[in-house]
Amino acid sequence: MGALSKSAFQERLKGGSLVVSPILSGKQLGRSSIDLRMGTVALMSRAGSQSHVDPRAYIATPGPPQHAKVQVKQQKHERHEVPYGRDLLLHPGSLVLVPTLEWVQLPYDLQGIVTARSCWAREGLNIATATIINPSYRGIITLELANFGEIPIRLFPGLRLAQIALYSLDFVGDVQPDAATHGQFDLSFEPAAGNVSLGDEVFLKLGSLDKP
Amino acid sequence: MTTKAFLLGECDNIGALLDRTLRFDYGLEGSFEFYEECSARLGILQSELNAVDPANLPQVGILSRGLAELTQLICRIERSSIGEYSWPFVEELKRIAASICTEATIDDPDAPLKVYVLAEGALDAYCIYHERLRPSYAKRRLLTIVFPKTLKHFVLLHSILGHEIGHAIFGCTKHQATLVKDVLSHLTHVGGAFETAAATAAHIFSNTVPPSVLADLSSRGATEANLFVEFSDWSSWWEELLCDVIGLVSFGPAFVAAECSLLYSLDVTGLGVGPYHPLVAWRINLLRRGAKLLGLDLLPENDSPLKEAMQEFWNYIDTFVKNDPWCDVLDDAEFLAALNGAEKLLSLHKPAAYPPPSFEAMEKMLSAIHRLVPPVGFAVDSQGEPHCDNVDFRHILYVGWIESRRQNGSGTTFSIVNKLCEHAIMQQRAISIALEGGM
Repeated sequence: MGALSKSAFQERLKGGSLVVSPILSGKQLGRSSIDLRMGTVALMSRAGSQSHVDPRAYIATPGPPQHAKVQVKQQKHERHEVPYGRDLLLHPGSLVLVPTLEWVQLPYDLQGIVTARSCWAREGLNIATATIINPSYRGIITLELANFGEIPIRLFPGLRLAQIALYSLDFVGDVQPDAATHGQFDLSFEPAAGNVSLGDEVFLKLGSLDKP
Repeated sequence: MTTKAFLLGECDNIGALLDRTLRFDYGLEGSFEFYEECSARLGILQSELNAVDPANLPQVGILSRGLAELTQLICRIERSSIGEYSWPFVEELKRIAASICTEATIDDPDAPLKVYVLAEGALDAYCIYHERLRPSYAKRRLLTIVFPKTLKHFVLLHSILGHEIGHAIFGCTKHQATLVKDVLSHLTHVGGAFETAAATAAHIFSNTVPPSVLADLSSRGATEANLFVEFSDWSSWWEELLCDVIGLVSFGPAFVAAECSLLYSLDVTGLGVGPYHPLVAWRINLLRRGAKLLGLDLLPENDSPLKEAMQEFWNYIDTFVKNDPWCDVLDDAEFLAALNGAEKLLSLHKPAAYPPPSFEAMEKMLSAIHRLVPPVGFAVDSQGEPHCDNVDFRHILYVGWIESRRQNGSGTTFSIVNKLCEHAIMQQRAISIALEGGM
């Protein structure tokens, strides 16, 4: 596994196997990373809508949709459109999901790592926890913005908040993954809540489902 | 309590209702303009009510109706927050409306109408409410654009609003005379099926009418003599045709495709004779012919994936055309003159008229959407440097329609193609901002 230099990712962009679109300025291309801009939607946790995050609530059950589950899912976040010129105030300690302006497509042999740009990190902005973008991913990248500082941060769509560094993957012998395999968030157009129970249901079903 | 006193109390209630609308964000520019406009209108009505003699019942009645209309307007707006519709599309639509739907006020001879957006209803909800009257010469009319709530992201279908923009343009006093002279006179030309109501009725009841149409009309008791007296409104019919012409010259091929999809989903045979609209089959046949007359269906000269895909798109449109000559209601020369008349007017108000696309740009965008990338004016050059270009949003819509009809397309759903195009319109706006800002 090795990091791609500017000339290496430019070559990939030219060939079309790597997509970061649109890149509004050549200044977005760094020596080993590409800057990403904030998009125009914000998803915030809705205070008071639930007492805690419960992975059991995510377990799919057969039959028609259940009112309570759907309601919890629908009311989990407040969704705000933030057109250009409008702003979003990120308060200390709060978490907000925003998309990148750029549409990204990674080939099967590249992985992306997303972090905050250092100038924003110094203001207390953290681009949280899930920084790895899997190979073959297609869509916007969700930035999990958190304010670690002590004063609110005013954010505008179009600002370069994040950067993505790209790494090539090593494969053993001729074994290569199926390029057509895409994950849970494939073709995302905006941030959405994930399914935290997916694949781990066996552990969650050990206790009584009646007592969440 | 007198009626006047009761209505003065209602003014307070309307004021409170208006204040409550500020709990929502219902416009790209925020709520300031709408709030100020409605407050001013309420103020005018309130002061007129204060001054009116309670015994002057006709005047009290007029003011009562004014209050009811204002309330209705506030309720409409309150029902739609910005998250309920596709704001990138609306922003482009507003740009078109602002360029041509203008009228004189005391302060400004060319003041744009105020545009607000609403999301409600089903497939037939597409509409633009255009105020027929404004409260005073100092105030601007409000234009309320309505989208079906289920089709939030379906920007390809939103192209049908080109027709609704037509109603708004025709409603502008300053354009009416031009449209009557340069467009309507050709649609209602001497000897044509739309020369008079009697001529339209005669065409419908002619020997060549499809039996199913005749059977339907007979079962309802409609005859050549009473069709436009009891069943249908002829003036609405020609206004609809006029608006189809404006839709075609303002939105181009995407408008034709949207009309084919939506109109035939609302009237599956296309042969229903309704009260306010000419038959769907007539309208679609006309639009296809109009696209040909305007050269909108021109293909690139060289063989290319774009040429093949565009041909497939127009073949798809042709499947909606009925070969029955009874469905062709206008003379080619007169129809072309009407199209040219509308194009001439819209070209004076950029960006109202549909601009011809560059095949080179279309080719790049088609290649992008085929790979499930939003089609925008962006490319990486041979040196690996990024380059951005302006692209008209109507070309994004055209590319979206082409991809959605492609036999060897990306294989994705119509919904995903729409979302890619909506995303592209949003990204293209960022590109325009960057280019205008010299980035």
